[in-house]
Amino acid sequence: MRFLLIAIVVATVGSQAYAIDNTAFLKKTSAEFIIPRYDALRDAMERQRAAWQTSCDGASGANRATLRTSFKAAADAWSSIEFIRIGPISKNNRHERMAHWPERKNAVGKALTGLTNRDDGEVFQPRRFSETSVAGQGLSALERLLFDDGMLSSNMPVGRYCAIGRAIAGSLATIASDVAGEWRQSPDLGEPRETVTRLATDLLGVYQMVGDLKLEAIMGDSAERARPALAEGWRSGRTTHAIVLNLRSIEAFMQLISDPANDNGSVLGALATAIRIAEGLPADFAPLAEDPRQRYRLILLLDAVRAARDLSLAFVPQALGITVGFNSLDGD
Amino acid sequence: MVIDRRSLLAGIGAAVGLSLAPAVALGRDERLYISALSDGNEHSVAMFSMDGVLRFSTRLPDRGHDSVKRPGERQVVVFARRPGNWAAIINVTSGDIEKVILAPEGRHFYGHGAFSADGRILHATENNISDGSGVLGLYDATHGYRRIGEMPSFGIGPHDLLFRPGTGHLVVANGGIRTHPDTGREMLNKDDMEPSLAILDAGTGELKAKVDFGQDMRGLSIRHLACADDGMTVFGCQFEGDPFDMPALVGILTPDGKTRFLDMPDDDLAGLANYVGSVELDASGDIIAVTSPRGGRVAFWDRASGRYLGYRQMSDVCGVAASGNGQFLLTSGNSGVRLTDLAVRDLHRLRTDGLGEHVWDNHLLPI
Repeated sequence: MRFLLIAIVVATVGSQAYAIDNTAFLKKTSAEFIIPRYDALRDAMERQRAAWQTSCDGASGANRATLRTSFKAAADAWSSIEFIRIGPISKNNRHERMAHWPERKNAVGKALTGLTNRDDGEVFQPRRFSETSVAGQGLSALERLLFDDGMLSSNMPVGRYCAIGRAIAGSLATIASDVAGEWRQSPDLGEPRETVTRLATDLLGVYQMVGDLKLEAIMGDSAERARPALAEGWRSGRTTHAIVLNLRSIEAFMQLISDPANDNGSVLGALATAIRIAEGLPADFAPLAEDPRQRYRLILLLDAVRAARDLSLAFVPQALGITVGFNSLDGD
Repeated sequence: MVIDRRSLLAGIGAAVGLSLAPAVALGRDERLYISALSDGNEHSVAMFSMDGVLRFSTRLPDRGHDSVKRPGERQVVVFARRPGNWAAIINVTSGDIEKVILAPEGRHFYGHGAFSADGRILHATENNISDGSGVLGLYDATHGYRRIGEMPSFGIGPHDLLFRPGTGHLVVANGGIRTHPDTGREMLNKDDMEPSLAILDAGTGELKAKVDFGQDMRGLSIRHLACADDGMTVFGCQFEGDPFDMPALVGILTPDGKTRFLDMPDDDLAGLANYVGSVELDASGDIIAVTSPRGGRVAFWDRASGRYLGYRQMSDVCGVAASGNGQFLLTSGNSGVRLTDLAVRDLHRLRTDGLGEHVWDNHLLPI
């Protein structure tokens, strides 16, 4: 039913769309939304890389708090630009290498085990490291290194622990720096109307990521079937904040395309409701999914996210003068 | 969307073939392709040539899904997207709709069909709405597509189907998902799906073989098919189970009834987002291409060895058709039409590229 609704809404508004100057819109979006956020990501990743270089002293070392702080800042910066898939982040599996969630087949665990058990250190050379499983290269693996109980009590030699962390943090910093730099050099994004359409698809896709995966898949059909240990960022206690930042990034983008004088505030209003509900949750929302008395708060958030999504599905194509592709939204 | 006869007639009134460009010009690439498309709330079926020229665009009553060519005739049947109840018979010379057939009371189409080799009988996957069982509706193309009967698909939710070349045997992808028009496309049996591949004798309706993957793979809806000249069938799946699982999505059914899934690196499998939209073989039959609109990727395998060959990125890509050896034409709702050649890393635009203005919807058929 959900996909049917999407199809009807998109089809209905398509004919009301009006043309915009796609090149000017992309320029404005780059300058006011994309580049500042990638700059922030570059800076956070560089601080994290430096922290690992200077402060790593093993899984149970005294400097763990420093590394954890830099990790949370880096992860926050990523959550704030995560939904963008156009442009330089789409090259060389960069998006997939930044973080690996949802994790399937214990991919992150297996990748880290492989890195731990390597006989040599050659794999930690940047070029060689970029060829290893993407699941072991990003923030999800770094979170496991810093917060996973099993990892912290594993007695992994300090040298190996720090080599893994430095390789990951270095890779993240390199990718973030390259992406930010390439955006500043006005990358070839392709035909402007097509790029705007893909950007809209990225934007609408994040609603499904947040609603279907980050919330509903964790909540399950009932409290008994909830799976809090699969939530994004549960080890580092940032399950809720990741969603808040995702929603805030949508809100910031919507502010670029909304016309306050034309009463388009309904989308922003719906987003503000969803953000307000999310911000009222504990730092780790996932345990609420198992609590029959608290679960309703997540249901309220899910409903609010879907309300904002439905309004956006109608509003965004109209505001941008495009029709987004059906295949990735409803399929068959 | 179910359309009653009155609404359908109104839709046909607007659905006049519109020939946009004559099919004559020296040096042009005259290979032709057909796909449904949507622009806003207008839905059409269009034919274009390999050089990127739109040959016709014809209004449809609602969104179309897949098309099938009638052997020996200049006719293509475009099926409504499920749970639609109409199929349009298109003259591919003029673009005109020659006829629209309706599924009978109590049935709706699932979006795919297959002709017998002599072009006489159209087999369409349909839902028996009362009990959710899958059927193949039989339509006699030589008598105005009169419905002459039906046979069971031996499963729930049949989607794609095709004839094994040189045989009278149909392969049917029973997706296993039960739906009802009253609830649109909502899955009514998410925890109890029964996907299967059924091989039928099209002449008698006899079930020759049936393949399912057991309880552990119940969430794997088998939906799309492609068949090589030697009878080996490639199938593509959509996973409706736990989103934290990640089963293989592409497999092979050999003529002797054995199945195996094709391997690919987990990193690349994750990139398909548990969803395959179309499968196809290249002109040689050696290369398998699989699209994932949700992942924005098309992935390739060598059919003989099963070796994974890699992927290309294209936003919203779904339609795929062979255009040469190691070459495929791709359609998307976001990125128009592109050509991919395994020997070249980048996707290519067609020579005249006005096709990117349209939102191409699901499948692509070479004429």
